[in-house]
Amino acid sequence: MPAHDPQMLKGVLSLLLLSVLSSGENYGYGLVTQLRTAGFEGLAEGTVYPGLTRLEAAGLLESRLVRSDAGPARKYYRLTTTGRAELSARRTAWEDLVHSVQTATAASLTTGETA
Amino acid sequence: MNLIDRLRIETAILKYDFWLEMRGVRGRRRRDLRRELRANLTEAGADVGTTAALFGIGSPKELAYAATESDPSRPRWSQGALWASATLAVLVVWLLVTSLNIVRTIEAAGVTQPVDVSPFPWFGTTFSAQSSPGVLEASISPLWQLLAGPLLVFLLVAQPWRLLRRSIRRFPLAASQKRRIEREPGR
Repeated sequence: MPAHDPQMLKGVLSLLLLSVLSSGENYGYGLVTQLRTAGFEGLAEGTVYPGLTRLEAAGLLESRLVRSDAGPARKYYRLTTTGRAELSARRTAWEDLVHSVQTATAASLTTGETA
Repeated sequence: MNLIDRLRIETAILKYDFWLEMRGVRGRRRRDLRRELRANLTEAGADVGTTAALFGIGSPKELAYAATESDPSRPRWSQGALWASATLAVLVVWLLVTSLNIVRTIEAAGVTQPVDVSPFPWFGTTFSAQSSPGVLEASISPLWQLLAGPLLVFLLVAQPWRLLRRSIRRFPLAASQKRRIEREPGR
């Protein structure tokens, strides 16, 4: 799979994190591996960890520490009620954007073919 | 994980903590962020190796800045203290070198009268020296003015007025989207 445009990825990172966390709580590196498995192989931890911190600071996520046998306690994140509302709003925004981009690119393709 | 890998992770965490401190992040939050990074790096190190794990987080400085981007604005006391100390060190060296030159000049010229010189550009700081056969007297007054420059640097860098405009940055795109949804509830 080709690497994703970092700028585009940055724009949808919050949506991705909120979406993944809507299916259950997870911790930083766990989310990185989950997103990599979903097709974002080039996703850097240095992008995901600050994203989680920002979402938590904005009140969209809450966290708790869970002891780990593998090492230090993990910080698990889960969506708050505000986070669920935000996810819904962002999904709508994303669908609108995809629809608009598809309309615009389809129109330009048609125009290009007839010209 | 071997000792070398543990040391590499701890070095990265120390750098991260340093830049968090430079950002004015308070102790408790810094500890939380450090602990989280340590846990994530340990997990990643066990999974893909320490080198790849450290490469993944990128520069600890940029990570610290990105992690605290939406934090309330805080004065940068540590950064201010660091720059103020550097300024003080430069001024002390300047004062010592200038004073030594003045004393040598007085001695070479054989002046026995008291000589006053202003070694600093701001008003009022005077270096006084008097040389007579077998005796050399030198003093600087008022000495507290030596602190004026570092204090000014401290205030400019630390920006204590940030306390007055602390506010959490929200997500403007999401907020505007919410307003749009509220305006169009039938969608």
